[in-house]
Amino acid sequence: MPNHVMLLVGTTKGAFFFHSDAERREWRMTGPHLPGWEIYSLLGDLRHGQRIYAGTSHYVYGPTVRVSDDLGETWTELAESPKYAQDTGFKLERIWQITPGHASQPDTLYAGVQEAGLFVSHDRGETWAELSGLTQHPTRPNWFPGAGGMCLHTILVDPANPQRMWIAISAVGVFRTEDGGENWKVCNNGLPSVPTGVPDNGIGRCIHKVVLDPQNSDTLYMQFHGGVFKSTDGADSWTPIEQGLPDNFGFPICISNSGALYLIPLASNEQRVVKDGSLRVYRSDDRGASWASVGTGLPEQPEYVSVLRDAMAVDPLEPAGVYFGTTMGEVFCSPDAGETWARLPGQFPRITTVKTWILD
Amino acid sequence: MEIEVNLPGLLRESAGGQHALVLDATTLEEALHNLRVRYPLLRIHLYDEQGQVRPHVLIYYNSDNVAWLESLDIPLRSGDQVHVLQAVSGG
Repeated sequence: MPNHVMLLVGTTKGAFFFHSDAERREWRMTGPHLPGWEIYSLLGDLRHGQRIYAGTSHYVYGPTVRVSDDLGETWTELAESPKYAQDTGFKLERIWQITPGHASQPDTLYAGVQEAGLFVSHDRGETWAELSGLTQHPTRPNWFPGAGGMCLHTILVDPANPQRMWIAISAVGVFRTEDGGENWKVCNNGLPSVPTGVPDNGIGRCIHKVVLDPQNSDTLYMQFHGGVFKSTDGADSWTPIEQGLPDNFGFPICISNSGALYLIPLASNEQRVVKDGSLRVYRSDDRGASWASVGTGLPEQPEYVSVLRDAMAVDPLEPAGVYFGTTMGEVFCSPDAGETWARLPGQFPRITTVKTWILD
Repeated sequence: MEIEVNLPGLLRESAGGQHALVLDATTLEEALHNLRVRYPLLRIHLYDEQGQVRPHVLIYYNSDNVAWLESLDIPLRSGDQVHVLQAVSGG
């Protein structure tokens, strides 16, 4: 059993880290780390020591990647952080996701950014290169931002094949590569279009979050702008999986190592808060065939909050720990797969990302 | 000639923890060039990919916004300062 579990919480004003043991019932907080900076992406990486990567940004001063090799005590800002070449005409506004490469590539990282693009580092973040096959895709002129900006927020690497990856872009769609990022296929079949004011051209699908089934690399699950979907053919096609859900709008979706799915429905595109002020987590134990509200311990009083797309996480322990942070800065934890919940002490800025990290 | 560059709190870590830098230069243009070369992280935070000052960043030469100056080819004088500020609007 591990004796050090961390929860990495990013907010619009710095990061906060929580430490516990395998029981995950008592937590000690450190922070704020990087105060004043927006933290939209965090990654705890054990491949070379204990390194935390943070995608930091500020509406005035722009984005960079910062790393800490001492659990947040000190930070180094990377001078060669992802950036678009001048001739692309693109502006890098925010780093939405930092993901480790395939197990066979221990020095590799991917970064998903706004405006939408994908960067790769093969030297542990020291230098980054844009995978321009994506931003030079023939559909690029038809990409338009959604309410959250044109962000590449999801990066999934096939554990069975380092050349095969999926990415998702808000208000654009899902793309798959089979050659390590040189060529990309649009994977939006079955997803409804969102109003863009132009004829449907196969783009303009508002993906909120996608997860890959850890036991089957052809199966993916998606929280869409208006719907929850599943693919069993590597994202070539999508079908709805909404039985039991009170609403089909929401942002995050998570999957545990055993295949349990978690999401938090919100009351429609227009309201974007939990329905009737009732903050509830829904779980599917049958790969999305049905959903049910689970757990005790979540607030009984009205909670008109939202949970952002990257602000929910599941740890790899058994039973799985499930965690989420709200737009009102509350952090909730379940150490038993969602059966019981507790709020961690403290109220924080708007929570943008929640990640788990098992250190030892 | 030496010129002092004052930084906002959020950018001090990007300049080795300093809140004020001293640069050697003969003109304002050279001073700003040296700032970008010597402190590449500040270049990222102050300038966008096109080399333009970010929209909400203000760089003042003494009491003048450099964006309003017709030319940056201004000989530096003793006591000159550059101030990096965050443009503020609203409440």
